[in-house]
Amino acid sequence: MIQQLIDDKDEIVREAVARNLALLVSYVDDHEKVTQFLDILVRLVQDEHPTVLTACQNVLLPVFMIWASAGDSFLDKVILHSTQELAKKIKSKDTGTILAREGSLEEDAVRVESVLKMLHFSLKHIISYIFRKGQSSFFSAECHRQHPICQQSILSTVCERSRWLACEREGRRELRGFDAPQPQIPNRGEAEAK
Amino acid sequence: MLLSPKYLTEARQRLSDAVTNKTLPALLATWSDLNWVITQWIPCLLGLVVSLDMVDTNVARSIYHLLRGICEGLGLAFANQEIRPLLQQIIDNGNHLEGEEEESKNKSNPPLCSSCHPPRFTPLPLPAVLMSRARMLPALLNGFLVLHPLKDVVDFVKAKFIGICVGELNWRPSDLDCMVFATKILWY
Repeated sequence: MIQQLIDDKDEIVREAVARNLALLVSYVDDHEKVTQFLDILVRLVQDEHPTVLTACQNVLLPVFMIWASAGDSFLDKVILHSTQELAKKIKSKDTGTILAREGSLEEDAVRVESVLKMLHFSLKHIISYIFRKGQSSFFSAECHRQHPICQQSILSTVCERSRWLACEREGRRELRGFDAPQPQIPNRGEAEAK
Repeated sequence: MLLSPKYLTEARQRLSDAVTNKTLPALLATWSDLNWVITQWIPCLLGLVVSLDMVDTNVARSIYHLLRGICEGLGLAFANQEIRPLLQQIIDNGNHLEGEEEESKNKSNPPLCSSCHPPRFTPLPLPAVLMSRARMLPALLNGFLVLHPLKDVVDFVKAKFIGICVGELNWRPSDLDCMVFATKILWY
């Protein structure tokens, strides 16, 4: 149903899809669904309406990255998979006359741009992931306490990001001029206490 | 989950220290995710650069920006040590492979006697390796060197322009197009 709503003509619906998908992702335990979510994410990233794009960039993408990085082979399944898809699309563009599929070249070009956009948005998450996975001696102990990823931390990110988005839309003065908030992940102790 | 800027700075500093202390290979051996960047992801991105049509400036720029973001994210010391050689290898090997290719071509097809056969004017397509090394120039400039001080960038551009014009290391005048493209989009 969500996949059908991505193409809705009303941008409010598409924005709601992005935010609700973020919520949905946090309840999914099966990380094998990562490619399905990734596909929807890439489709939403190519939305031309700024509110949909903002919701996607500030709510869905951070939540998806947190969720996906908790699964196995995040770098291979999400990042390398997307980059390899780019390679295929670029190659199919070169051999477009041979493929001779109506409209496929234009679709491929749009897809290439949105996958690249998604990778750009994800870059800081990828770098953070790589550093987090570094040797334990690499960071100070304080940093290592930030590691645990649990459903609660993902949900709190969804809520916080959605709240930020709502404030931003209403143009509340106190939030103007600030960047999107960094997700606040509770320490292991705090998470257990809750 | 994002790390705070403080920890990112700390991590970059430690990577830089590992480069200085020459402990980076040992670190990479035990750090599969960082190793993944230089063995899987960067080569895959460079493959894209090589196969790109230069007309696709937006796509090309996006890939260079991505490369720049990776170099910036992991720190310049690490990028200098591990990422630059991957780009440089394609630029340098283009020359090397082209030499080998021409040599093997000469062996299999000895040069024709010009008095017996009319000269062929059909332009031959450039060897793929030459194309790839020319296409890698904008990536090196915009994805990596642009993070360096202005003087280094200007020196590289000047030297490369001169090098291509005089045919240094088998560069050809047609490669100037890639260099012009690289400088046009510099800092954008």
